[in-house]
Amino acid sequence: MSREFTLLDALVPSLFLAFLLSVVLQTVLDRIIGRYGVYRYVWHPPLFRLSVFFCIFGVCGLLVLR
Amino acid sequence: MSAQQTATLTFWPALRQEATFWCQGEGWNWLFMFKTILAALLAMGISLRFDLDQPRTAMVTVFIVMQPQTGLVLTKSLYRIGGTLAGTAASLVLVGLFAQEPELFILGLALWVGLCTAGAAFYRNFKAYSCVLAGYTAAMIGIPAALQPQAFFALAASRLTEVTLGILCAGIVSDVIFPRRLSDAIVNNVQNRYREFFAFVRAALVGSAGQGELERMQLRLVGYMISLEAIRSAGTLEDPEVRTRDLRLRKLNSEFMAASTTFHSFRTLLQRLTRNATPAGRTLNFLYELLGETLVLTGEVPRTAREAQRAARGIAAFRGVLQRRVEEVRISFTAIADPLVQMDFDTAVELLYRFVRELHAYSRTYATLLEKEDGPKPPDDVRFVSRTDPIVALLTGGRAFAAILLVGAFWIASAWPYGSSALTFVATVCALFTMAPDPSRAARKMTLGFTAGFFVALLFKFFVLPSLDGFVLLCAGMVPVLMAGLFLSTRPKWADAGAGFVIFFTTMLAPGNPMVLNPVAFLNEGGATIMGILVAVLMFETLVPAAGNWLKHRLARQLRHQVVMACFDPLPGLTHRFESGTYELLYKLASTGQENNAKDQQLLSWMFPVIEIGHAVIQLRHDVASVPMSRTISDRVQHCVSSTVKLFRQPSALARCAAIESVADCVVLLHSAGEAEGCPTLVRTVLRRMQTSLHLIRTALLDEEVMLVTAAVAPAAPLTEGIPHVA
Repeated sequence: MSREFTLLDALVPSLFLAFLLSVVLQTVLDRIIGRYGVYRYVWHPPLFRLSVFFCIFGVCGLLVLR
Repeated sequence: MSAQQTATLTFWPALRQEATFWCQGEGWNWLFMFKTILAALLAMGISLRFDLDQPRTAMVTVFIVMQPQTGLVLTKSLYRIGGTLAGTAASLVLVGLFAQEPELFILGLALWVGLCTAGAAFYRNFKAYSCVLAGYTAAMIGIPAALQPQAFFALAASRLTEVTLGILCAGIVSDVIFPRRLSDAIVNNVQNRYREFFAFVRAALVGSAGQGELERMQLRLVGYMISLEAIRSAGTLEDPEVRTRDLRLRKLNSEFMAASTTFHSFRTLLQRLTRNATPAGRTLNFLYELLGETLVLTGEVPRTAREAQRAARGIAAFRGVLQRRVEEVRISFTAIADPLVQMDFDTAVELLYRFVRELHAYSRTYATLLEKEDGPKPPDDVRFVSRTDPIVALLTGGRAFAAILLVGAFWIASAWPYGSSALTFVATVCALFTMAPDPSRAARKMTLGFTAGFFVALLFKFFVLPSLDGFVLLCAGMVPVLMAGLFLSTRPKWADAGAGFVIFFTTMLAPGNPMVLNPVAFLNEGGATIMGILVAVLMFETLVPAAGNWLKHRLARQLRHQVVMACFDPLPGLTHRFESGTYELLYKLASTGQENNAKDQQLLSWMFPVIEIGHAVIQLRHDVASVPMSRTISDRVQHCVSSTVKLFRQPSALARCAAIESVADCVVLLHSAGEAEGCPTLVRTVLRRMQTSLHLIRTALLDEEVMLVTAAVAPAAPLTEGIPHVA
């Protein structure tokens, strides 16, 4: 995929789309994890959440920029 | 040797104790300072790395968004993004339409900012905050863009990026590093309030505190109510745990309000009765002390669910005791034939019962709050209603509009090269302080901070900065200055000054890549900005000042309107709506300040009859609706209600007289209806309850001390002649 695409004649980095996508993915995952009480076994839930987000974003970003 | 040993032995535990004490209080403040600085430097580093236009915007965003509690940061961030997007869109429209016409552009900008400011004054909490942001973002982006319309898109995109970056940094740092949960704050609030409420009730019962002390305690309790409402709405974003408890928290707040209202009515009634040394007063005092003793016995603040359950059971057991005692005392009363004395007694006893019942409900909800949720969901009919005055909101908007027009006109007329800076800041300050309880005081404090920040930035930029080389040194140089400002911002008294200092220091320092060092431009821009702020402060002081009489009159009017609402609004959920609105108004009235002078006292004195009468009217309406009544009774009650409304719409001695008369007639009618043969027991009880409500209204209406306002219109002395022993 190219690095930028045009949105109404403005150049937008495709990484931005990946970011939005990972936010959505992370929110869904967060709900599921929270529903099943996994966070109770995690030492530091916010840190865990952040790390999961970075993993998702990393994967999406690498896939987009491949 | 041994003496030294004991010294070291006592030294370490004492040190540890001191350290724990410090960590619980001051420690949080220092943690907050370090977190804020870390987030700000992170934002600066990233923006410098990515070559963004203005790293300072990201840093300032961090300072504005950062709050001690994580949930507040997240909520504030969300609304900030929303507000910024709206502001950017508005500036796009303004620049697109009027880039060629400075006059129209300024007019449009003033309108937009005025509208947003009015919105900020009208809504509460975070909605208000996003209105503020939508307002000043339009000014921040629109004004520089209007000067170079071709660069608008790049400018807007980079501002948005910086703001978002700042928000992300603040959110992540506050969430990941030693987070301080809002749910803890909620638990704190609820526990403190429980303790203080019981202390208040005890102090009032035993008589260990003076009137002024009690009023202060009551205001503090009202403050807890309002702040719980604020953090509750923010906490739902932070933690699913809070979301599941949300309904119970709202219920707790509503029950708390109900209990404090009843307690207040009871206490005032008792004061009136004892002041005139009526027989009812003497006997009631005995019951009163009994209640006090029970509460002292259950005095420990329950920390766990089980302890709270026990306290609730204690109160429930007291209800039985109370019933027996009342029956005992009532015998001595049947000897006195005077129906009014009877009535006084019945009313007070009814209120006492109701208070104990509500106290029990409150304790029970408090107990279940600490447990996990289970069982079916109760119906959700508890909504906190806040009262805002649309006219006051519009005037606040008009003030911002006028301030911007003034500076804009000056800018155009004088062709001032730095007018844009002044205009940006006048818009920012006007929007920013709408939500403060006393905007002019907050703005004055902040101006102080701005000025100090300006001079420190001047020294720092031209004497320290040139010898700093590299990012690490820049950070190291900035940290002490920022620390000083943030330290101030953690002190409640200097919070605005500290925030102003930090924000203005970063704005003027403007770290960038490459650094621009231009002393002349620096001085001109700083001077223009401070001038803009001063104009805004001037507007706050002169146009509809918050401490002024007009605003207080509006508040008093709104307060009286609460009774009108209690009389006419549909019944379901009305009690809570009435109480939340009234207490919020009380809080606002108290926070506008200095109620030292007689006039303010007079306005504040409306408060208490409003609470009492409004509550009694709602009870009355509930009772009328609960059982089928004959036509004459319901008509007469309706007449009472409408005459009360007339009094509260347009207070005068005449209206007061009419209201008292109508209430007294109604009491007589109800009394004879209750005594009539063949009246079912249920109806009789309801009629008795209605009589006590009406009696309560009447005593409140007759109270000269409370009804100062009507008394000032015309002396109402002959009015009370017929019923000398009440009042």
